[in-house]
Amino acid sequence: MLDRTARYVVSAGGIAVIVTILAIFFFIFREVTPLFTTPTARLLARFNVPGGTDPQGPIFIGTDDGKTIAYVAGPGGVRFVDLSTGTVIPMDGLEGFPSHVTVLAQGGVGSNRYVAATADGLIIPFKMGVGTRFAEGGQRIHQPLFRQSQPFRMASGSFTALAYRAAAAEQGLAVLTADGALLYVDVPDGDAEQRVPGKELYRFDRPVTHLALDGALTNLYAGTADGLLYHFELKEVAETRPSAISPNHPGRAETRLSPEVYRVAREGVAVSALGFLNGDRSLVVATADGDVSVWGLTRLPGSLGRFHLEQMHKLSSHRAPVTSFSPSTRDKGFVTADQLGQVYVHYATSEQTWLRLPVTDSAIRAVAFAPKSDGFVALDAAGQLALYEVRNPFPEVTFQTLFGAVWYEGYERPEHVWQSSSGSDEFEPKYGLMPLAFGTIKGTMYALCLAVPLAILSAVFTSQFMHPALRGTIKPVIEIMAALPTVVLGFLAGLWLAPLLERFFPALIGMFIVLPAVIVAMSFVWSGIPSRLRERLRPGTEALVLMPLLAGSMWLCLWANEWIEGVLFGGDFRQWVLDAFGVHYDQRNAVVVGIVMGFAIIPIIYSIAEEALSNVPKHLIAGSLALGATRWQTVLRLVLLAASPGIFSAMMIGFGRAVGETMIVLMATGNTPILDWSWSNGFRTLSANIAVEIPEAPHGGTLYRVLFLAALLLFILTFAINTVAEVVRQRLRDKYMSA
Amino acid sequence: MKAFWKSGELFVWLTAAGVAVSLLMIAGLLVLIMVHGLGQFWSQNIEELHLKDGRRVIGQVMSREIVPGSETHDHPEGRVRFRVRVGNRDTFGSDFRWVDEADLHARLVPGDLVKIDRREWGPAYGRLVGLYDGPGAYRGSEQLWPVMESMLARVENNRRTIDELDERIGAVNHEIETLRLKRRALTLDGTMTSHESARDEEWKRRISVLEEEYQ
Repeated sequence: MLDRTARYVVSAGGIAVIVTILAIFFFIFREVTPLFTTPTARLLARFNVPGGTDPQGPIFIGTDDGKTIAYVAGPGGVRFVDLSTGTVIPMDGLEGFPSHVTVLAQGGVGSNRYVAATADGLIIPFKMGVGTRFAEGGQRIHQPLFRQSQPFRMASGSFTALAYRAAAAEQGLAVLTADGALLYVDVPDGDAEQRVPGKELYRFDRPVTHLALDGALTNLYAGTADGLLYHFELKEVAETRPSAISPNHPGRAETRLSPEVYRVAREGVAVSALGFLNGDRSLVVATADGDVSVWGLTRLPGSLGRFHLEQMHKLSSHRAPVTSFSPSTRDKGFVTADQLGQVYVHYATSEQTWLRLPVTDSAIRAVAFAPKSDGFVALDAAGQLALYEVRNPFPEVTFQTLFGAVWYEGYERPEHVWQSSSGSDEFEPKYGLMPLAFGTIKGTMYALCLAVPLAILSAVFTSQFMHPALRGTIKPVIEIMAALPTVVLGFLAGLWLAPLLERFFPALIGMFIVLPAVIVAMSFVWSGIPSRLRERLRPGTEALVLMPLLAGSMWLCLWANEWIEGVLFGGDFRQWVLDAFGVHYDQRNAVVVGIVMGFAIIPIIYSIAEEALSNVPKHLIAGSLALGATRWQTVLRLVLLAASPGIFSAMMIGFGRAVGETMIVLMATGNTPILDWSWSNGFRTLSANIAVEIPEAPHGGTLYRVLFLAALLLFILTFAINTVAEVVRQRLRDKYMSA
Repeated sequence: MKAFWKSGELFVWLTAAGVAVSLLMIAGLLVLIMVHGLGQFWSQNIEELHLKDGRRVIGQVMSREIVPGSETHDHPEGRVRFRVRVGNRDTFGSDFRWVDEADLHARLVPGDLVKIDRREWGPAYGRLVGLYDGPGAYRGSEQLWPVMESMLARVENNRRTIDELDERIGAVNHEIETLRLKRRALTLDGTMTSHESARDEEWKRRISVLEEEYQ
């Protein structure tokens, strides 16, 4: 009766454990799978915009957060379209907008300030967008906004290209006149004068199609009709006096910049769209061949401060010339549209073209990515406006971005980086798991370097050379080490051991020399003692004798720290490390972690190894000794071999434990995710990373799911290692039980 | 000699060293934790440090260290400084300060220094000069310590009463809130029993008013 209940209870417990583990695994898996779902897009509405077939000219389109209102600005004027009905929203103040607009520019990604230029050289800044108002019952009402400012003149004649940037405190405007002069001006606020002089920067001898100006008003790019891209650095312009220049007198130009020229397309293929991504660091270049690529400024190696434009990402090409481009205001995604009516949705960092959509049959004149990156509006040459919904919640995550080297903005080459969040939306999150996985392995290796020798040696001595009574005391004492919470160990490591080791590292090196010497000397001395005296002592007292001796020698090394530093390291240990290894000594480094994590793993390896060594059949040992082998020869050639599977599985279980260790590495390392084997700097492990970042990760966001992916990796890794170790152990048991 | 090497006794000693080091690590760790942890119960004396320039510092000397980076050729041990807890964060701005051993003239332990733990601004160190027992009642002449002890006991009692009353007020408020919600639920369904619960709530509200007056 009691047997049966015991059996049921035990089985129930076992099944509960299995069910729990499976449940945890499925929960983690479920949180991770959304990362890799395929994006979808859906047509929401299609309207014919009244007066939509405007005469040829620039068209700008935009929409608001909730995709309720779209606004179109172009040669036919400014129109606001209600996206639920397709009707134009009547508004005052739109009549003043000129009807012969030749160029349009937006004042930055997501900005609501624009400038338009007319055929007779008038420049009109205006604000266009959608505002929100809250009604009585708390509902949100979207209403269109339009406000035109005082126009001004920069030069006579019409303009062919325009770039405008409304930064926080200043606004910059670059225009290209019909005869190829590139003028730049800081837009005046008060518009006191009708005529604003622009500084001539350059004179082009080839037709320019697009201009782009970045948010710092420092870099100006010009794309030409034959596939070249000019890069101007505007920093010097601010220092020089402005001069009243008219395009008819190029010789009187005071400041001329020398641009860098890059070939971005084949000979004769025009740059058909040019613009910045969110953050103004990546430049998107689209050509008349349909190619779409992302370029970024990198620093030239060796020289100081010189920048060079490099092609960072190449995305899928369209089959027709690209007509329009729109960046996301939230992340590094963007849409491009071509003359065949196709819209491609791309993401720069992961180099993916996530969606290719056949939106209409005629050429698309303008496309706008919705501010929340969850849709777009496209206006085609037939005057049709299409509204699409796009669901792509995790565009920056692919297998390549998680585990491969990625070329991030501002970096010189593709690298493995983990830098998951920052203060603004302009930041490019970097989810490289390789530095974290590397950190896990590094920490584990350093810990095992200390733990495995100590644990195996202790296990050999305790099982083979110790009197059973003494063994019964010593074994539990060592196993007590496992009961210490690792938080305590981590705390001590970071706050006590790390500063101590920084001062006494030479003493530690000294110990590596002194302690073996003491052990060797003691073994000689011991063998010199008459054997009658030796036999009276219980076997195993060697360890007890060594304890005060080793403690004394450690104390001696600590006391002689400065002397050792002077003799071995020329008086300054940190300088010596810098000279000899070229590395900087960090206070919280891998050696500290190795010592303390080793301390945490020793009891685990010790228990299992000791058990394996003790289970070697005694008759084998007795036979070996009887045949004349010394006790060490027996251990080395018989016991160790017989117990080797058990020792191996002990090491694997210790490895599994070290991989999952969180608090020690959290507190004792610098938590820097670097790919460096060096002992003198820190690292960041997968487990510590989860502990540090999960409280701040937005629920359901990319970082949240990537952390769950890290947890899944750890889970699988530990599970696999422990399973293999356990299987090996079981087989060992069966093998020796039957013997 | 060769026999010794072949017997392998050296390696036995190596394994013994493994056990010894493990045991030392455990013992060392336990001793370290005990000393630092239990040591909090034996606190340092409150001292009056006289500096060479005539100033005096009152506080507890918490630790002593060698100023990092102060080892030079003629002073290889470097400069020594003490970390003194001076308290009175509202006056000094920080709880601790450094006192260099070179500036120190004498360390005295006068018997009348006190350390008072406060609810704000950390502990206060100094000498008791007088006590305010209620508005306008200043006592400066008698033995102040026993008077302060009785005053402290009274303050503790008052605090306990305040806490109890806080709990009761909280309970009454909770009841009021529950009844309010119940009433609202009823008014959303129908107003049949709302009269009853309205009366109930009136009664509870009257009780809470009484309790506040009592406080």
